[in-house]
Amino acid sequence: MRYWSLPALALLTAPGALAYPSMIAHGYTSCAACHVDPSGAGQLTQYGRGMSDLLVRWHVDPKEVESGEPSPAAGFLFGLLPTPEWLNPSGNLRGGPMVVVGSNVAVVPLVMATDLTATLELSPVVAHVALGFGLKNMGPAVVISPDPSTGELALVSREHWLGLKLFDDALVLRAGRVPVPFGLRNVEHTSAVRALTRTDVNTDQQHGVAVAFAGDLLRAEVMGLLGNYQIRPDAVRERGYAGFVELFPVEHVGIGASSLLTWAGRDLDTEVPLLRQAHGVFARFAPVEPLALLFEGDALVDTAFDAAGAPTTTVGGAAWLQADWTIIPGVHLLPAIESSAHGDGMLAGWLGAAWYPLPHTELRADAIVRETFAAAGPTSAFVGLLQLHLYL
Amino acid sequence: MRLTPSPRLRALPIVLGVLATTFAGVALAGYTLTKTPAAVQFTGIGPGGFKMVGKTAALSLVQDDKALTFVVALADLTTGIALRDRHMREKYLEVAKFPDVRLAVPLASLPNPAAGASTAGELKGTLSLHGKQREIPFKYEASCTVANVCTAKGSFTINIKEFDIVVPSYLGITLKPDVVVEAQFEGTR
Repeated sequence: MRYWSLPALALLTAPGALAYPSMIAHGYTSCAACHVDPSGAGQLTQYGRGMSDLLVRWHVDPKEVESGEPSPAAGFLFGLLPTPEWLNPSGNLRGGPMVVVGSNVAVVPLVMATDLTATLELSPVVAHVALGFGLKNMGPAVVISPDPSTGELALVSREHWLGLKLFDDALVLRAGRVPVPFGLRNVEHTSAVRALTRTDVNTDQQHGVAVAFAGDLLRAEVMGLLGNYQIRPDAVRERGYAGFVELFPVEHVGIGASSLLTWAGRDLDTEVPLLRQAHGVFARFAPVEPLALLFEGDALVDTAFDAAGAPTTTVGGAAWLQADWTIIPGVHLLPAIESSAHGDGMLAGWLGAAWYPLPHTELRADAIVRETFAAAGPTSAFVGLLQLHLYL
Repeated sequence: MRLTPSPRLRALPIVLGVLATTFAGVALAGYTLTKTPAAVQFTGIGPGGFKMVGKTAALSLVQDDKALTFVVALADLTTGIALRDRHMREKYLEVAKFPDVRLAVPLASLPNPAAGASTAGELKGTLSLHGKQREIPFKYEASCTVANVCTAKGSFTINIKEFDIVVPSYLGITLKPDVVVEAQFEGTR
């Protein structure tokens, strides 16, 4: 199982890209207004840049939000380089020190993202690409690596797709390397619900064809997975489907369900033929504007086949419950608990805090305590992570 | 990409706002609002599932010998985002010039449910918004308890362009001109 066989550093590294399912607290159920991806996460649209500056950024004087427009610095390159409306360039730079208590290396410097992204929009056609340079531990997102044995200094492309927006952007068809539609698109890419379902937006994107719908009462996306063509041989590529639907029965409440089924002739982690299923539910709820509660629970069903073709099925699960509490605008506290049973059992507690001091700047600290329950007995791990995240 | 685009784009998503209010169908002659806050809201939608909801409780009833008029003050209408509210009031609804929206319903057409009964249907009224008047149809539901405490709710859809309200557009997001307005209140008779 891939999740547990990953190196400790990768396993315990915390949040990734930019995605805020908690924006439902501001009445935003749909993701497409603020994100290039119709299902959320990653590069912001022009409107998303503006709302990020107004609703996410910390303001010394909170009245700035009421009296002013978004800062010009919220534009590309902090507003230094005007761009035409049809071109949306951006960048995603993320890194910081990680502390793993008990490891041989006290502090591990991490460079997690050095992506440059661009979206070309010539209505109704849209094209999007993200390229990162000089990264390591990017696994399935690597395009080229000078040293495949270490994966260092790799060229990474997390996403590249061509899309068609129809019916006033309510329907978006995409083909290319696309984030797998499943569950909450939370940024904590090492959370069990993301890692065990292989649906994070850090490296788990797949090549395929996706159809996304966004309406005022529901949003949904389904994707035919054709495999990740950045890994080889062909046998390790997972093919199948993934999708979700989320309903908004009342204001500030979203309730969704997800499903995924893939087949690989030789699973990348277990190296045996594997039919992998994940089915789950998720919910977003903002009882008051400063607080959003996010939940996801997934059932995991793996069917492995031995050399004789005999199947062995294992059933497990993963769950995630997080609160996103805006203490003051621009300062968030993000406690979470999670558990999983997939091979070994796991129980973890997260305490994150994020501060957005400047336009498109995030400073985030996370403390993660994980208790793993293996046959050999329980083990504990504690990780502290500090990240500076700039999204140009 | 500049965040201060052309004047046309600066419009706020906001929208539409307010429009309205209104209604509630039922009215019933000689009605007085109870202390239960009224709920008036408009919903505007944009591309890609974008939705904006504005709310206020500032509903009042005015009655003369011809009509019952539902009046909604727009000054306190809010969408939950301060800048959007400001754009809505200043650029689109021009609240300083047009401080309220009114729906006048002829008394002769008003239903008058019996105590303990309920009724529903469609009525017509004259909507005054942003300095323009138009007759519009609206749906209503109303019920009264045996103590003659009545609740009523109504809804209608209008095209804000027909009321000379600029279609809100901001940073690439443009709302559709059709806006749904809903209102609910409780009164005694």
